[in-house]
Amino acid sequence: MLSRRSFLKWTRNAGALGALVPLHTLAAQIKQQIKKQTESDVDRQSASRPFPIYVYHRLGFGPTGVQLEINADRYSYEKYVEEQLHPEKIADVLCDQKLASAKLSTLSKSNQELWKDHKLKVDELKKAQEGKAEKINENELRQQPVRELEAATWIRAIYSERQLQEVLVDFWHDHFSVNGWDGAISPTMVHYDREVIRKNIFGNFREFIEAVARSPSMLLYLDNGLNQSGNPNENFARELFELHTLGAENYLGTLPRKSVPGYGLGKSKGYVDGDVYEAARAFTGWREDSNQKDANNTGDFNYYDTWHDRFQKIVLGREIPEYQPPMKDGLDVLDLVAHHEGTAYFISKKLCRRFISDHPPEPLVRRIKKVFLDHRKSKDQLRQVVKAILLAPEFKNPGATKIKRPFEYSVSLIRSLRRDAMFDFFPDEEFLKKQGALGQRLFQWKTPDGYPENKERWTTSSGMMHRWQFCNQLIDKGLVDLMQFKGDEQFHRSVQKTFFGYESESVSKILQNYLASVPREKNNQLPHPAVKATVLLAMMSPELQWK
Amino acid sequence: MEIKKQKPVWVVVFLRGGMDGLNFVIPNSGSDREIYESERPTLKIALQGKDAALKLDEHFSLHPAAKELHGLYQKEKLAFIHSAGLSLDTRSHFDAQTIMEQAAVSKANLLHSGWVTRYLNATQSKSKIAAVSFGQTAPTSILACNQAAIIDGVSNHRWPLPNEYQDQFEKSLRSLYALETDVRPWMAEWGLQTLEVLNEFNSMADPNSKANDYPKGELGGKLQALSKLLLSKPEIEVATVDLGGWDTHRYQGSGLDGTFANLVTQLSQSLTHFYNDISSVRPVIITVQTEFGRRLKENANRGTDHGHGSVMMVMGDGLKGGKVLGKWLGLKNESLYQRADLAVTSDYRDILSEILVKKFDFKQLSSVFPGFQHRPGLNLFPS
Repeated sequence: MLSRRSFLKWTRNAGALGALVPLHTLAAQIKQQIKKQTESDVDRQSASRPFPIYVYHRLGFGPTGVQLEINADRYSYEKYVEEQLHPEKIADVLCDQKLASAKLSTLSKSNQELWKDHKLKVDELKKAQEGKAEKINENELRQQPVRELEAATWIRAIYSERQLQEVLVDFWHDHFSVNGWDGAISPTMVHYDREVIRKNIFGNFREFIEAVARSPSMLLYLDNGLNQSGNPNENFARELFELHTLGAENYLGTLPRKSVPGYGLGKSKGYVDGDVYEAARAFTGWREDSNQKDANNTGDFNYYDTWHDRFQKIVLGREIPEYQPPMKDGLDVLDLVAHHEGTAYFISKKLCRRFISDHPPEPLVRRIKKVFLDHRKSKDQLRQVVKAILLAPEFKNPGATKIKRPFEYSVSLIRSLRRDAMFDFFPDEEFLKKQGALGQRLFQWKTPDGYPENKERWTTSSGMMHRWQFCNQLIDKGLVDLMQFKGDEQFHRSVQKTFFGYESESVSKILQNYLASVPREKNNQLPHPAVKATVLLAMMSPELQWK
Repeated sequence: MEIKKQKPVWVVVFLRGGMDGLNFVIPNSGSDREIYESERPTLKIALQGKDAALKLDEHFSLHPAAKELHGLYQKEKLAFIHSAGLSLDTRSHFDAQTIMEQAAVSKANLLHSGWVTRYLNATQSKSKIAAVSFGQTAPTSILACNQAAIIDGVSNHRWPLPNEYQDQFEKSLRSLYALETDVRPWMAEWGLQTLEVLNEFNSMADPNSKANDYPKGELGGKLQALSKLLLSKPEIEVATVDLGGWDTHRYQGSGLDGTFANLVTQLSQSLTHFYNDISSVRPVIITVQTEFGRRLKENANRGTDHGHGSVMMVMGDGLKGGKVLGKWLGLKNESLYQRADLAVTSDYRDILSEILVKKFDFKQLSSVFPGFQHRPGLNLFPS
C-alpha cells in the first residue's frame, strides 16, 4: 500500500484546493473526528452474554430455541468452528425437507434451462401478445428464479445446520453484488447463487473472481457483455478493481500510471484510471451468449473474439502483450488483481469487519492478510482465511458489538422461536414485502457495492420502526405462542430465556416494573394484553439488535 | 409577510450514479455544439423538432423532459451552475459521494461526519428533529447526527395494544433503550431517537393525509412525505433526498425516450410540484448535485462512462435565477479535464457556502467545510 505520507502528499498536490489548508489545523480537526468516531464505536462495557450464544450470532444467524438451552460448560468452540468450516460433512435433513416441501422448481435448473424458461420464453410470449389487449405478467416468469432463490435463502438461514456457510453466502453476495431483481438479471440468479457464490466461499479467490467475471449475472449487470473494442465499456473493469479486488483504498485517482509507486518494477502499489481503461480493453469480447450477433442465445458465457481488442496493454505496471490467445488478456488481469497485496488486505479487512468489528484492529488484519497471501495458490484459500479469523484471539474479545442487519435480525428472531421439528415457517410474499421496509430485501441492493455492513448506516428511525413492527407481525402470524407464558412470578425471566437464552438483571428490573404497573384481573391473572406487551418488550429490546 | 421572515428550509437533493450534465444543460451554439454533436452521434439532444431542447440562453438549452424546471427558470426561481462538482481527481462513485457528502478535503482525510451534520452542530439547533432524510439507510451527509430523522414516510403510530396499555408500554420500551446509554451508546441513541420521531409523527395534525397529488415515482413519494412534515414541523431546517439510477453506461437514450429522459421527467415534475407546494407556506432553498458528470464521448453501447464536471441546480426565492452561472471553459479538447471530460470550474462547496452565507447568514464556514477557502463571486443572490 501507498504510505500515508506519500498519499497525503499526492492528494495535496492533486487536489487543487488542498494546498490552501494549513496542514496542522487540518490534522487536529481530523484527529478529533477520528477520536470521536472510535469512542462512539467501542462499547463501554464488554458484552455480557454466554459465549455460545455470542458464537451462534457471529458464525450464524443466531441460536435456535434448542441451542438457546445449551450448556455452556460442555461447549467446544474450536470443534464447532472445525465442523462449520466443512459444511459438506454436516447432515442437513430438516433444511432439505423444508426446501423440498417448498417446491421451488427453479433451484435445480441449469443456466441454459433458466435462460430458456425464464428469458427466451418470456420474450416469445411478449412477442406473441403484441397488440393484443390481454397481457401476461412477464415479470412473474422472469423473476421466478430470484423469487425462489430468496425464499430458499430464508429457509436455509432459518433451518440449515450449515450456518457459517449461509453467513458467508450472505457476505459474498454483497461483495459481488448484482441487482438480482432487474428483469435482465433475474433469470440467471439461481445459477449465480449455486454455481458462482456457493461453490467458491471456501475456495480459491482467483478462481472465485473468474467465476464471477464469466457469470451471466455479472456480465449483464456491469455491462461487460457489451464491452467491445473501440469505445470499451468501463463499468465492469472499474468495479473489478474498486469493489471486487484492490478496493477503493488502493485507488489513486487519475494520476499518470508512471507515478504510481512500483510501476517501473511491474508491481504498481495501487491502481489509477489508466489501469481501469486498459483492463476494460482486456475484457472486451467477454460476454453472455444472448441474442447478439453471432450468438446461439444459450445464456452461457461466450468469448467473442471479433469484439476483442488484441493489442498490448499495461495493467498495474505489467505488460500484457499483443495477439495473445483467446481470453488470455482478461485472465492475466485476474491473476494480477487476485494476487495483489492490496487485494489481500482489502478482502481480509472486509472479512474481519464482518466477523469481528466494524473497525477491526490493524494487527489482526495484517495477520489475516498474510494468511491470504500464503495460501494464494491453495484450493481452500478462503477456508484458511476464515479459519484464521475465527480462531484469532480478537474474535473472543472484539471490543465492540456489531449491529444485526435487518436480515440477521429477522432470521435470528425466527430462529429463537424454532424450538422443535413442528415449527413451520415459509417466507411468503406478504412477509417479504414487509422485509423490504426493514431495508434489506435480498438481492435488491441496486448499486454494485452491496448492502452496507457498518452500524451507522443501519441505525435509522425507519429501520427501527419496521423492526418493532416486525415483532408484532410474528405474533400475528401465530409464530409466537403467547399461551406458553403463564404470567406467573417468573414471567420476566422466562420471556428473556425464550428470546435471549439468558437473563439480564437490568432488563429483569424493567420488565418487573412493567408487570407491577399492570392491573390484574379478578382471579389475579395477568390480562392477555399485558402478556403480549411483555413478550413484545423482550422481542423489541436492544438485546436482540446486536450480535 | 410572516413567511418571508422564517428561516428557509434547505432541501439537499443528491442524484446518485453520476448525472450526465452535458445532456441536461446542453450546448446549443458555436463550436461547443459542433463538438457535442460529433462526440455524441446517437445521444445528442436535438435543437429542433418535437423533442427539441428548451432554450435557456445563447449558449445552453435544457433537456426537453425538464419543461417544468424550464418554467421555474423563466420565472427566475432557478439557476444552473455549469461545470460544477468535486475538484478532486476521482472517477469512483463511492469515493466521490463519500468525499462530497463529508465535504472532506481529500480521500486521505475522511471526516466521519457529514457536512449537514456539522452545519446543524454549528447552528446549535435545539430541536430534536432538525433534519430529515428519506430512505432505509443513512446517507453520508447526515452521518453521526443525533438530530436527524431518517425515515421512509410519515404515518400515525400506535403500539399493537389497547389504548390503556400504550403509555406504560412505551415508557418501558424507552427504559430498555435508555439502559444502553452507558453500555452501547449507539444503541441508546438509535432507540430513543426513534421514539422521538414516532411522537413527532403523532403530534402532527394529519400525518396520514395524502395531500396535493404528487407525481408518481420514488422522488414524488419522498417529497410528498417531506411536504407534510415541513408544514407541521417548522423546526426542521434541512432535508436530504436522493434519486438514484443516473449511472448510464448503456442505452441512456436520447430526446424524450430512455432511462435518462425518464429520470429527468421525474426530477422536473416532482421538484417543481414540491417547490410550488411548499414555497407558499415556507421559504425554501433546494440544491441539486451529483458526484460527477459523464464522459463527453459516448461509448459503443450508446451510454457514457464516468466523467468529471456536471451541473448543479439551485432553486428558491430571493435567488437571481433564470441564469446559467459558472465559468464555462468549453468542450475543445484542450479545455477538457484530462482531454476527456467536462472540467470542474465551480467547486460544489463554493455553491453551498454562498447559500450558507447569503441565505442563512452563517459565518462559521470552516466548521462545515474544513480546510476549504470559500471564494465568493458566483452571484447566486442579489447583493
